[in-house]
Amino acid sequence: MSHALSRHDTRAPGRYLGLAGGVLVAMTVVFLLLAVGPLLGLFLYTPLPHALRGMLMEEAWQALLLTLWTSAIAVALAVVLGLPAAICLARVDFRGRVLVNALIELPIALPPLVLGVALILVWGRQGLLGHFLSDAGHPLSFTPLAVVAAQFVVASPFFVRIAKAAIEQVPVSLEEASITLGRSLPATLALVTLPLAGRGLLGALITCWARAMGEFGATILFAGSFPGRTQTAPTAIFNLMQNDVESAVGLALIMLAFSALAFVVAQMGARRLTTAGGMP
Amino acid sequence: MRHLVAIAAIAVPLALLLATGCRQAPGVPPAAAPASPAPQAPRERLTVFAGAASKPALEELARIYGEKHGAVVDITFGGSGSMLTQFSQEHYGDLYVPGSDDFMDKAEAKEAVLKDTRTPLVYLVPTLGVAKGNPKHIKGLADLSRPDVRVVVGEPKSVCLGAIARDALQAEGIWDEVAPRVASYATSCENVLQVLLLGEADVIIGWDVFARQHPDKVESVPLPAKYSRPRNIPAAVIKWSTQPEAARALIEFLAGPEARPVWQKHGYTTGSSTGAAKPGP
Repeated sequence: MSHALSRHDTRAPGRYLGLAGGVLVAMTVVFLLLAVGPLLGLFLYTPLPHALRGMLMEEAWQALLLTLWTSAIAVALAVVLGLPAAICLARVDFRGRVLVNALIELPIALPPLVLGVALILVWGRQGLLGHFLSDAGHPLSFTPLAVVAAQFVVASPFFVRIAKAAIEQVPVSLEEASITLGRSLPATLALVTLPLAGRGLLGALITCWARAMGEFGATILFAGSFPGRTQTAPTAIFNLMQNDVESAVGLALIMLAFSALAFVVAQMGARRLTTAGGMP
Repeated sequence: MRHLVAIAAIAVPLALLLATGCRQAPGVPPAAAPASPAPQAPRERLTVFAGAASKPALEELARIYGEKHGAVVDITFGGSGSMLTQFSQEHYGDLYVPGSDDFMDKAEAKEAVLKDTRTPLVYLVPTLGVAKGNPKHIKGLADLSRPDVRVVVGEPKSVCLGAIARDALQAEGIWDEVAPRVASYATSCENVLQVLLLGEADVIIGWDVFARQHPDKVESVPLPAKYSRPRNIPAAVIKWSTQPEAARALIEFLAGPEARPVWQKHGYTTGSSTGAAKPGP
């Protein structure tokens, strides 16, 4: 039998066999080598003692902890504010929908440095709106909240975009069925739509968080790079690169480890969501 | 197998976290003064915008000053020009320590600093920087026109070393030749050094301190006297500082006798511009 597809388990998606499968695997290996390969260089570049010294530096852990809590808040904001927007764009037909969609995607197309300049001009101490905050004694720039703001502006569009796509994948007929059976729209959203979109939503969350953790350009412009105060792991790595490349690599390796941890946890979570009886 | 990867991905960062767990709580604004006899007043917090040229010494001096006075000195480093833009746009900060007088002049022209607080801290001498052993046998500025030599200089508009490079090459009449061939424009003084350390350039126009800070990797090739006029690293109080007296005190410390050995340890030249006090080994 020379079927390219195998369907031992009719509930599972088809699996590609033979030549087609082999070619795809080979192409994946090429992609890995080019896209992920340079990361391997990090491990090979620096001797272990130097890297460990970099990893154990207090500044490194200060920066990492700051990055973790600021990105957590930024992502929480992105979800709270972005999920309704994603649902709206996926389900509500309103005038200007195309425009709003484009506007939300706009920050993704811009270099974060541009977003940083925009933040300074609008929310900086002399900014359009920021000067009100400044006059009231609560300036935003060069504070940890500025870090959160920079991360939010850069990363939240990713959440909205992916969440919207995930919700669009859920068949409207299922929602209609739920409503026909008596559930209200909010209950349908909560009990039918969002769980079914669960895997995609988790992907949106992880992507958004990864983007927030790695944010550099907007952060360094709007929040500066003050160790212990606004220096995140990416700006710390940049700072260390100035005269201590080995320690910079050490910190980079820690970020790698944390990101790997996050993705593994996400994968395990996604697997659980899928086997909980939802659609594959 | 999958579980092994997962366990490793969790265990390794955790182990490292625990190893450093005994250290003082990082990333939290100082709630209490250190154990040393601290003044009744709340802990002073000074914000410094510094060009990267003074980084190694300034970081150590900030720590020393902080311990001595129970103060916190926050420093952000970058290209002198970017730092100037940042604090003058935001009207924020206490001290400006650019890599050269040129940027301090710009700051004064923008009325961003208090002129009467301007103080020279240490001196830097521009030189050509090459890899240890001078593999390309670079002897002078003329060698920068050679096709086999990769040149990196600072961004002339925002980095003091960049402006120095441009002026020297223009005076030699080879700027138009060299500029298009420049491999890249470094974004700060330390970036100029970094590029040489990483092997991205065969020659840079940098500071004499680079070779002193990295004697095993970098060598200086002197420039003619007319291009190697020593430059100050100056400091001044930012106009919008909310603590000008404390800022002045910090400048006095940085320019004073206690700071001198620290500057010299990191390879900077203190004293008069004729180099009265030579840097340490």
